[in-house]
Parts: sequence; C-alpha cells; structure tokens
Amino acid sequence: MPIFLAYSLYLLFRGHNNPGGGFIGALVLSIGLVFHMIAFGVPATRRIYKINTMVLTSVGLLISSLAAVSSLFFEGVFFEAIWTDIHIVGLGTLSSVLMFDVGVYLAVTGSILKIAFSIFNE
Amino acid sequence: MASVLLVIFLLSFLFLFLYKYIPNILGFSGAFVVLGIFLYFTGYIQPIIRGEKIIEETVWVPTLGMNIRFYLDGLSLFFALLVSLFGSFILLYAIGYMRGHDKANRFFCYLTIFMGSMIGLVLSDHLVLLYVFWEITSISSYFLISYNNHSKKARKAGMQALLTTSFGGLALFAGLLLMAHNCQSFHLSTILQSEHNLAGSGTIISLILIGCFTKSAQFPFHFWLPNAMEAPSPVSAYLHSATMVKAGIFLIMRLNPIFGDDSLWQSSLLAIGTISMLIGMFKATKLYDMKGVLASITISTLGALIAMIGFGYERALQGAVIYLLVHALYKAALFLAAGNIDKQAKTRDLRKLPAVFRAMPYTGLAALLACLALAGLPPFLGYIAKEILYEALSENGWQAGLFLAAFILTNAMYFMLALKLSWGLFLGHSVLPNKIHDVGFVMWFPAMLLALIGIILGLGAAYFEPFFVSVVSALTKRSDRVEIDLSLWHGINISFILTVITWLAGFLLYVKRDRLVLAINKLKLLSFDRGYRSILAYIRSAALFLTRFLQSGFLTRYLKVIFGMLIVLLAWTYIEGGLFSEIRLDLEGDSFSNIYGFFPLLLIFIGTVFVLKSSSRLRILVCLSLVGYGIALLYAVYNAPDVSMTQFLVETITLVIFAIVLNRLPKSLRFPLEARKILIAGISATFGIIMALVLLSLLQYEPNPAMKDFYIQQSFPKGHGENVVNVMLVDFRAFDTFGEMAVLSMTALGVVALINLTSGEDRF
Amino acid sequence: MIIGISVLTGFLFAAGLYLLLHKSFMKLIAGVIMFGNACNLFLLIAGGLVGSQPVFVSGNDEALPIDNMADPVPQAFILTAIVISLGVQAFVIVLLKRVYQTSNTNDLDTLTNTDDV
Repeated sequence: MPIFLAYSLYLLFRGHNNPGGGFIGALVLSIGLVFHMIAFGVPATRRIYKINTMVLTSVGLLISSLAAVSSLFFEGVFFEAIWTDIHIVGLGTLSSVLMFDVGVYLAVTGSILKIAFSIFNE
Repeated sequence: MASVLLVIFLLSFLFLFLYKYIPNILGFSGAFVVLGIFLYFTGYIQPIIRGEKIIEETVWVPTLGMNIRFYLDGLSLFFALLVSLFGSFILLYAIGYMRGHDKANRFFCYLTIFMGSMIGLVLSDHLVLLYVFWEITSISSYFLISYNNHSKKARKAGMQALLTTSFGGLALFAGLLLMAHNCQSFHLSTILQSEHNLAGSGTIISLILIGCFTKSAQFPFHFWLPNAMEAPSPVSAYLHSATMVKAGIFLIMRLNPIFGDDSLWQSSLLAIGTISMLIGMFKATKLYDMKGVLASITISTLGALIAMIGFGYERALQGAVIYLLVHALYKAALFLAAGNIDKQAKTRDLRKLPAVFRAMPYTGLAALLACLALAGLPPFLGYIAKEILYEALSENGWQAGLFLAAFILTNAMYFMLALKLSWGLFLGHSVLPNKIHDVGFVMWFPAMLLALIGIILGLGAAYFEPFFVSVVSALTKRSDRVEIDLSLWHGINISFILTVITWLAGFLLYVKRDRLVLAINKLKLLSFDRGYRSILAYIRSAALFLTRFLQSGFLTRYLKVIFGMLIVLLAWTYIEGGLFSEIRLDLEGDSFSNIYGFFPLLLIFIGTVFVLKSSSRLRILVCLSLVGYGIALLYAVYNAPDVSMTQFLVETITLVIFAIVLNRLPKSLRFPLEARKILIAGISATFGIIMALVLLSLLQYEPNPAMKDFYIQQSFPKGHGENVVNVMLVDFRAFDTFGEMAVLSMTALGVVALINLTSGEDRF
Repeated sequence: MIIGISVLTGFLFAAGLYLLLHKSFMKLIAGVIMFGNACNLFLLIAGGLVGSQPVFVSGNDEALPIDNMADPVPQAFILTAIVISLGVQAFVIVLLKRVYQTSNTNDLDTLTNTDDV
C-alpha cells in the first residue's frame, strides 16, 4: 500500500514534464485504497489511513481555488500561473500550478474513495 | 411623461397594499391624482395646437437601442386626455361600486395598472415599448374580466378575451418587428417621418391589422367582447367601451399616415369595419342583457370608426375622431348607469327591469342624457359627429354611398335602441318595487358628468376646433391643416336631411321593434363564439395527442424519439451538405498501418461483440473492460500516453465499482424480455453508420494547426512544463479542470445522497 | 488504419445506443459506458490523428519538431471527458441500483408512473 502512495505522489509531481499528473496520481492512489478496502473492509481502511473522504475532497477543492485566486493577489488575472524560483528536488519548481495539481489530486482521490466507500459500505 | 407612468404604477401598489385599511381616502386621492394627470396633459394642449411634437427619452439599454421613449403629438395627447379623464371618473365610481368587496384592493390595483399601461401605450414611441404596454393591457383586462373569480363564466370569459387578444398581440408583435426591420428604426416618430414606402407590404399590414382587430373586437374576433361583460361595470365602462378596445383604433390611426395609401389597408379596414358594424348592430337588437346590448353597440361603433379611417379623407377622419370621443362619453355613462341598476335592482335583463327612473332619478337622468347622445340628437356632440360623417360620405363615390346607406341604417338602429332603452327602461313600466333607491353620490355623479360633458362639448364645440385639427393632422401624411367646422347648425343641407331620415327610420323601427327582433332572429348569424370554442378544443386535443405520443412515460421510447430525431437531423445535414461525395478512402496514404494498431482494434471489436451477445452479467462486465482497455491501448498507440494511463486507471475503477454493485444485486435477476429488437437494432445501426460517415468526412480535412502550434510552442516558455497535455490541463485550461473537479465532487455527493436515503420509500 | 478506427467508432456508437435502448438496467449501464468510450474516440479522431510522437517539449531544444507531434488539444479534452464520464458512470450505476431497490424492478418501461416509485 505505501508503494501505491509513493508511486502516486511520484506521478503527481513529475506530471509537469512527463506522463502523470494530478488525475493519474489520484487514480493510482484510489485504486490502491479501493483494493485495500475490498481486502480488509472499509472500517479497516478508514482506521489505518485515517481518511475522511469528504474533508479530502473539500480540502482539494479549496487548495485548487486558492491556487486560482492567488494570482489575484499578485496583480494577475484569475487562474494566471505564478512561478517561484524555488526548486525542490523531486518536486520541481514551486508554483501555483503545482498547488492546483495537488488540489486536483486530493479532490479526485476524495471523490472516488467516497463513492467506493459508500457503495461498499451499504 | 415617464414620471406620470411611475406615479400611476406606484398608485397601483398603494391600492394593493393599503386599500384594505384606508379605502375611501386612497380611493378619492387616487381619483384626484389621476385627475391631476389629466390636468397635466391639458398643459400640453397649447404646444400641440401650435404644431409641436414632443419627444422624451430616458436612456435604458443604449447599446441595444432599447430606450424608453415617449412621443406626444395630437393623437397621443387626445388619447392620453381621454384615458386619464375617464380614469379618474371610473376610480371615483369604483369606490362606490366596489364597496364591501373583499378583494377590492386587487381590483383597484389591476385597474390602475391598466390605466398606466394604456397611457404608456398611447405615448410610447418605441415599438417594443408599445407592444409591452399593449400586452399589459391585455393581461390586466384578463384579471379584471375574471375578477369575480368564483364564477366559472367570468373565468371563461376572461380566458377567452386573453387568448383572443394575445393571439392578436403576437401577430401585432411580428408585424411591428417586420416594420421596424424594414424601416431600420424602432422609433415611431422616425418611421412616421421616414420616406420608406411600406405601402404594399401585405404581410406587415395584415399582421398589424389582426392585432388591432382582436383588440378592438372586430369581425371575426368580435365574440369576446359581449362575453367580457362578466366584468364589474366600471371595467366594462372603462376598458370595454372607452379605452382598451380603442387601442386597436388608436394604432390604426397612428399608422394610417404610413399605410393610408395602400389598397389592402383601405379595403380591409372598410370591409371588416362595415361587417363588424352590421353584425354588432344586429346583435344589439337581439339581446336583452343590458350590458350585452351596450357591448354589441360598441362593436358596431368601432366597426364604423375603422371603416371611416379606411376611407381616409379628411372629413371622414375628422368625423372618426369626434365620433370616437362621443362614443366613449355616452357608452361609459351608460355602462355606469347599467352598473348602478344592476347593483340596486339585481338584474340586467331589459324585460325584467322595473321603471327605475322614479326610484333612481340621478342615474336615470344620466342614462337618459347618454341615450340622447346615442341617438345623435342635438345639442350633443354625437349630433355633430354624425353630421360630419354624413357630409363626408355623401360627397364621395359609390363605395361611400353604399357605406352611407349601411351607416344610416345603423344609426337608425341606434336611435331605435336609444328609444327602447330610455323609454322602456326609465320611463315606461310603472311597477315600482319599494326597496330600490338611488345609489350614492360617487356612483351617479361620474355617469352624470360624462353625459353632461357630451352636451358641453356639443355646445362649445367651436372652442375645441383647433385641438381637433391638430389631432386629425396626426392621422394623415399631408402637412397642411384642414379646418373643422364644429358648429351645431349648418342650415338645411344634405347631411341634415339624412339626419332627419335617420330619426324617422329609427322611430319607425321602434314602433315595429317586435317584428324586427323576430326577423333578425331568423337571420342565422354564424356563431363565432362556438367557432372559438371548437378551435380551442381542437388545439387541446392535438396537444394531448402529441404529449401522449412523445411523453408516453416509457423511458426507452423517449430515448428512441430523441435519437431518432438526432439521426434525422444529422442525416439531413450530412446529405444537404453533400459530404458523402467528399469521402476518399485513401488507403495508401495511411501512415499508421502498423501491427500494433490492429491489436487494440481487434480487442475492442471482440469485446463489443461479446457485450452485445452475452446474457450474463459478469461476462458483460468483463467484456466491457476489455473494450475499455482496448481503447486505452489505442490511445497509447496514437501518442497519447496521459490519456492512455487515465483510461486504464478509470477502467479499473469502474470495473471495481460495477463489480461491487453487481455483487449486491440478487442472483436471480433476469433480463426483461425485449420487444421489437429489430427496431432498436435498426435505429442504432443507422446511428452508428452516420457517425462513422461523419468521422470519415472529417478525416478529409486537415485540422487547423494554429491551436496545436500555440500550445506546443508556449508550453515551456509560459507553462514551464514539458508535458504539453498536462500543462494545458493545469495551466492554460485550468478553469475547465476546476469545473471537472467540481463535477466529480458533486457526483460523489450525489452517490452518497442516493445511498444514504433510508429505505423508508416515502421520502421521495 | 484510420478508416478502421472510424468504422470501429461508428460500431461502438451503434453498440452503445443498442444497449441504451434496452429495458434492462444492466444493459443500460453498459450502453452508457460504451457510448462514453465512443465519444472519446470520436474526439480523438475528429482532432486529427496527426504526428508520430507524443507531445513533449524540451526547454532546451531550439527547433521543435512540431509537425511530428500529436495534437494536444483533443487529448486534453478527452482527459477531462474521461474523468467526467467516470463520475457519470458511477452515478448511473448507483442510481439504477437504488431504483431497483426502491421499485423492485429492473425493467425501465415499468417505471411509467412516477407516483408509484
């Protein structure tokens, strides 16, 4: 399971220059969690990974919208990208775009897990 | 002028909210406010006589040319004065008439809304504004007719009036739009002065005339007016005799300078006017309901007016304007009197009425005076109007002569009806029930005043000549002014002789009235009311059939209809565009003929076939994912690695979710039997073929590389990323992606909501 | 090859519609999924299957071989479309399951009367 997580994070951050990105990362992570859920049941998954799916979704949406709005504070237009000069190895360049992608990642994971959990839980 | 309208509409709201608490104060002050508006308009008389034309504009949506523009010339001033003066009288009267009604506040609200829109209608310069006011008068008329909403008859009558007039309103709207389009201006003032020759544009003329005829209750739309007599009497007096039904006449007069020379315009005005005049007259003789008689006379008089405009020469137009005023005065007075009698004696049947004259002296006197005006006796203005019309008609051609004969007959009938009303009703019977006594001051005073104005105008007509000249000058294209001679006595000339003939004939008809009624009853007049009802029933059943056909409640049938339509539209566009012939199957130029490409194709094909053939749930599921993975492979082959990855992952998740759900469904679930598989197969095969053809046609075109080049070139400099597709998603088109996230979150919420619905079942 | 894909897409459309028009819930879902796939393929082909390389640019290269690259625009559209269709599919699956539980039928045409549900 940690492998799934690690791989999905890797996909997320390399997405800008290579195949990958927020969606794909999120899908990989959710598939991992869904399999875990099938194997051990929803309560176990919830307990182990301490996930509140709706919180995940909302935080993701929030981060994305913050990324979108943030440019407004720097005399830009809505959704205009901001790039910093900080490079972090493995993450690439810090930017509002990256922030947006992280938001996508969280929101998609949250939504899919929510759907899967509710169906399975029923 | 905009402020006048604001005041009136404000007044309507005050009536709605405050009338319950201070009925009298509000009623009287309302009447005085409207009287003040009348006085305000009289202030414009002098400038108008001097020949000025006033345009007032309030900017609203200037970019669309939608401004609130008012245009005041002789004609609109004449109507504005008429509407406001009558409005104040009617408000005064209604205070008494509506006393004790529990929904009187609504009544006053509708009435003032009508008043405001009527004034707006005659003043507006912008055609759309005019149309909006026109429709508001229709709608408020509907509310007023069916005011007594406990009565089914009243509701039906209101609906009939609304349907008829709004049908005409639609036609009018189309006509006005076409006219504005042809003249390239929405402003009446511009259109009236422009050199655009609209004469000969038959469509515009007929559309506009349909609108005017429905509004003015002309043949063949006359049926709604007698039924509208279900309305309270102030409404009948105000809307259905003095103002609203004259809106059609107003518009005809207004547009006469534009269309006046057109033969279609003239002949249809003449024909419809004459027919309506005669039909109304015959109907009036037949009826016993007092308000019905009055309404039929209205139809007849309006017909005469329209025919008069159709003749189009100066004298006829002068006569028409004055005749219109006369009619408004005596008809409103008579309606008010009828309302008084109805209220006191509780009946409107002419045969059952006692001699009210002695019991209700003031009402009786007012009604008598109004009847004299109807009969066209001197010194009423009605006499002068008739003289002018006779004179105008006797000097021109055979058509005029023919119409003159009909007009004399009609006037003789009016004379007879006036005699019948005044003699039989007010002076005749001596039976006198004790309890009937006259109504209060506010109720007889307006009627009396209206009747008296008829005399005052008749005696002092010469004084008003310049004003009428300016009114009539708005009706023609010619700029020179023709003087009007409004004196009562012209000496013994042809029109006087004709008047005397009319009186004699009228008296004769009165003497022979019983036989006359019998004769008319034998004339089987077509019942247009019945025609209206059958048209309505037909429309309803057609709509029902269509609804049943399209919305059967079977979901699969909906789908069939929708896709059937889609196929027809697509195929039509496809064939129409001649796209089929453009397809060139250029097999050699296909650069992708590699072996890797065939494998996913095969996979997809096999998967689809199995999905179609299989009847086991699990097998369908597996084959579906086969198709999905095949498509993912296809994406990979065609250089879309991100898409391919996403497709793989999505396919997996769908598979899992589907599997979980399937697992929870009972094992014994069987597929329902399908009827008419061939039809379904036919529809879907056609659809598939069309889609494939569309695609093949699309392939013939080189895609425009501009977008592609832009994104590829800008990806790194602007987006700082090497994966162009991803850069697009998170940067260039991030807003789309954001929307997509929102959609996904919403579906998650939806799924949760669906699942968490308790199985109580009644919570739907 | 392209012709093959075009015809196949048409076939997928036909199959999807054929399944959609069935009364069975199960086949309806299969139809929805199939139809979604067909639409995505349609987008891809309509965008033109040009180029022989995935769209990756390098910040260092001066001359970009644009002509050889696939068009990124339809790809981006399809990516968005795929994720949305995932949401729709999940929703449809759950919805129909719910309808089945509530009305105890898996025949669409028995759902004629909304009051009965």
